[in-house]
Amino acid sequence: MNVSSNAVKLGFERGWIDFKRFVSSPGDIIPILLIAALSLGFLWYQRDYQVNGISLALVTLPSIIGMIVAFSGFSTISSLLTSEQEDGTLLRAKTIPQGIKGYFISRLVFVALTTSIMLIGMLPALFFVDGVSIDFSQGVELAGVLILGFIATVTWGAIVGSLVKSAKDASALMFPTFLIIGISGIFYPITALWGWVQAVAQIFPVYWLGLGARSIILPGQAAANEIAKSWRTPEMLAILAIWAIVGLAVAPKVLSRMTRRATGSKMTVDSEHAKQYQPHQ
Amino acid sequence: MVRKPNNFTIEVKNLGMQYGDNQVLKDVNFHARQGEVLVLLGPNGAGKTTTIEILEGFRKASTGSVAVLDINPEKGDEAWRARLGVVLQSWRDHSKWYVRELLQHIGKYYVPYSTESHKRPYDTDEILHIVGLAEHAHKKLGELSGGQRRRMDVAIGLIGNPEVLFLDEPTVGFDPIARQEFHDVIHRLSDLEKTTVLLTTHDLQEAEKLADRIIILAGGKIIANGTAGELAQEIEGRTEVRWQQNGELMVHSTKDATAFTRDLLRQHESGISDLQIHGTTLEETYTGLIQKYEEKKEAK
Repeated sequence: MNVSSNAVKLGFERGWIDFKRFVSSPGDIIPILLIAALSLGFLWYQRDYQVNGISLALVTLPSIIGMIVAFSGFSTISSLLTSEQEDGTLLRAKTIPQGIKGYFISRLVFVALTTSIMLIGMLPALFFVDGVSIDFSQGVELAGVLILGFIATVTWGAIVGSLVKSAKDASALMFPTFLIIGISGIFYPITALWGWVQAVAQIFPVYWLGLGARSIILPGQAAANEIAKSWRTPEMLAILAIWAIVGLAVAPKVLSRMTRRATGSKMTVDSEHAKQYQPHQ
Repeated sequence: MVRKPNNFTIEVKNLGMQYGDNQVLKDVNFHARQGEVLVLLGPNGAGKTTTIEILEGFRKASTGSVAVLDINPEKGDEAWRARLGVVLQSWRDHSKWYVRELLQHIGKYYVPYSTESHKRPYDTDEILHIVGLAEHAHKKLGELSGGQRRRMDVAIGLIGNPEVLFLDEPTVGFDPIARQEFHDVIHRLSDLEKTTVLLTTHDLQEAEKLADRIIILAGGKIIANGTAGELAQEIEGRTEVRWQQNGELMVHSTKDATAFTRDLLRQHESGISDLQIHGTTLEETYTGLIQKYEEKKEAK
């Protein structure tokens, strides 16, 4: 049997088992359902408002889809890597032949599955948001943009998760994450914000993911509501691609450094800090 | 796998380890043969874990040379890793996985490394039975007690049918029965499977029971290395003679108490009283060795 394909197969198996446990664990799945419910509630509230003849809910829906991919890609992987450096999962993988490869593949599979679950949670919006109609080729385009955005955020989530040493520091990261989402034109039009805030928001992938999803789902005239009154598709693709390419180049180096540094004696020291955050026992 | 005689499965030469100014290991030398059980004994901070982590390839040695299964652990690849079993200290990972499920999943990583002469992995249920977790096979890891959790760590260390097994403080949290069962597992592995076992403990009784050879480590140095019998003999030699001389308490430690006492009484025809001769136990020697080291450290 090929050693490498065996590890890939086992990575998928592990990702799937972790996902099954995640879905059946109330503490894990309820926050996800809550986020979906809140987003749906927000859309429901917006369903009768119109901007330039388009339902406001229809404008927000693609933005939320973009946000889910960006947030889930970044936060899920970073918090996983942080906590699994502390609890010994990473170190366990290191003691097994090809274990690290299986581990990282399983994390990608797991994050992709949990992101899909959040997206599926948004499906009820199709029943009450007016004017959602995308054909097959638009569907493919949307999937393409979301996958590009997923790579752009999941790689950086992995980088941050490797560098962050404790669950406490990881939760401190939540604030800037939400701040970036807040200024990225998901729930509130970015054109209504100050110029410098717009400039900051346009550095990060969240805004561009939302813009990309809007450009595919909304009718052409809705571009008038955007910055520069344009979908700026080339810029959107270029900026997401830059994040993705740099992320793909940097992440393996940071991950292998993290893996190399993980040792039992170091973990014993780290877990002294971790004990108070320990969810089980 | 057939090994040439005198071909060591573990070989450590002049090993030194330094973090900044802190010398953690100094000129450590030892080796192990196939099927041998080697116990690293010493107080906390003696360098046991560092030594074992270097052998596992998780840490780079500062100086000296190390070989495990004839390979420098720093350069060991995944095929080399497949021949090792590793049990590190206290973990709490995979709390949502079921015992049998996790063991079976991990075992699958070893399948491509199986050969005609050395089958990998072991049967999952056989290992669960050996470590005494068969009745907990369908529990989640998070529901296990500390001792059961530790047995799971040992089970994972064994699942790949290792040629060399490293265990760092494997029996912490074991009750006496679990400990006895664990000792049986180790004996079985070394006798029947010819597995080389290197384990650390700070429990002297455990070391005496398990070890073909005991290495006592203190302050990063080997202060004793031998079979339990050899260490005991070395200690037996150190007999303590106490007596009162002109109202003053005198103590002398000697290898030949008989000769010393004969001399003492010949030289002082009177004035000697309350003569006592104490043989030392292995435990006293161990404690003595450690204390001597601690005192030296404080004197610095």
